[in-house]
Amino acid sequence: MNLGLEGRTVLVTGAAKGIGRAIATSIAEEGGNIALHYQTSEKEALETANVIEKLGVKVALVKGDLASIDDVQTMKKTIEKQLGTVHSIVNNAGYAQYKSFFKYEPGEWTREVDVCFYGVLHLAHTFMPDMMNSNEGKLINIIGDSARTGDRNLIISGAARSGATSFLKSLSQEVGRYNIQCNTVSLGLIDQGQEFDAAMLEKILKQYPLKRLGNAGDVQGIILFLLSAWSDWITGQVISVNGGQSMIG
Amino acid sequence: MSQRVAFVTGAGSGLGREISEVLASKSIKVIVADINMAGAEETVSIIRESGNEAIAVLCDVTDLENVKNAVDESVRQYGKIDILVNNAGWDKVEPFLKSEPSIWQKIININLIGQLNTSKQILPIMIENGYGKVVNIASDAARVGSSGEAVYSAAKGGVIAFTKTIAREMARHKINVNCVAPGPSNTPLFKEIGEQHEGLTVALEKAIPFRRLAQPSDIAGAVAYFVSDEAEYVTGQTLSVSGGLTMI
Repeated sequence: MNLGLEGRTVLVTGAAKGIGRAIATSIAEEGGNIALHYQTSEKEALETANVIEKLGVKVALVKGDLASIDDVQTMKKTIEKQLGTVHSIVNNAGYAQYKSFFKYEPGEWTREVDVCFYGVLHLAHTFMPDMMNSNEGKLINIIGDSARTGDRNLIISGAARSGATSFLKSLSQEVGRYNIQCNTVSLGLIDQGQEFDAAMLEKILKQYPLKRLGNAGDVQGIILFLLSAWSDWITGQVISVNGGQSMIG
Repeated sequence: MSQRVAFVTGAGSGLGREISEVLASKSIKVIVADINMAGAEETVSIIRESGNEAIAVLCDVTDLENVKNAVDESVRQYGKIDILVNNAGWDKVEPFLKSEPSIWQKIININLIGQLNTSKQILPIMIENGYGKVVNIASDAARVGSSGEAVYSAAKGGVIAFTKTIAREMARHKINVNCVAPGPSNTPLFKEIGEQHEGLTVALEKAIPFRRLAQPSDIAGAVAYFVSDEAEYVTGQTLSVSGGLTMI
């Protein structure tokens, strides 16, 4: 199946390792050029870039803090010099602290909101005008199901990401006339090598009808679908990839 | 791995035909199930012309016995069913207070009971094979309501709720069950409704952020994703394909 990603430039944030790396690699396998964003994991970002280059596509490494609009604007300039205009964005980067609300010191929540909420605004404000000019584009934001169902220990990042979801719904109404799709992918617990003890894992899996944690391939599938022409009439939607843990709407 | 086999209801026209064509293009054998055999045969011809495999079976989804015969015939021909797309649907658009109970029954029988009937007959085959993908076509009418479609939206709401529970019951058998909820689509059903309601198409095009009705291919793309291996971890979900008309 040709997804039509050949020669397209896709910005993947938080792509140095883990899910972001898996997403960037799968897009590259479909022929897409990758603007590979990272913030601190330089060594891993270089490794990922090497893997991607070997797939025969172009890759540009861009370092930056999505919480800073200046950084995001600088990222755009760097990408344009190396790869030209960005056609699509997969925002995988995030920042979350795992603790209950009253364990936060006042202000300690700011960073989560800055990355998970403002980061999306910064990306859209910076990159979308070019998409509007070229009358095409896709913006996919990745969140956790905690943002849809609540989670007492992910209270701030969940709120910030829920805000980003609402932002994308309104934005997709604004930019639909330019043939730009904005969608949200909401993930259940993905196996990224966390070391759960057997009892804990069993307890977690009880909540998952498909009786396993998610893996990188599960995320790659939905991202490739939402970047492809197969989803051209889908916008403003939220889709959970979560082994059936929650079923909303 | 042998070729996958899909059973698509209402496949003799419109959306069901498009879904069948798209699945066939992915080397899936398609059972074109419809009450309209002339339409079903036409779909089969189109698929065969592109070098892919399909057969037509007579299937009245409202009748469990008739569905059983269609399923038996399919298994005789292709040996198994891996994919079920519950697409058959029907509506008569009119204010609820003007509608007749006989019409309610017809709408519920086709749109909701039809999906129960095919699930009842086909899920055991999937369980036996240890593999299955079910995609139920719902409607955005179920998610946000739609004037003139009270009973239809209730039936489709039933489809969404049924999907969630079946997804839970079938998860242990590695069977995924999901819903695609089309918004207003350029299908024979919509054309029929549009003829009776002047200005409806124009009004909808104004309200849809992408400024057009869905084409059957838009919906088929989402079905193709749900039946693919890439969607293995997705179950019990509803995806609106609506050009942004609804966002839930």
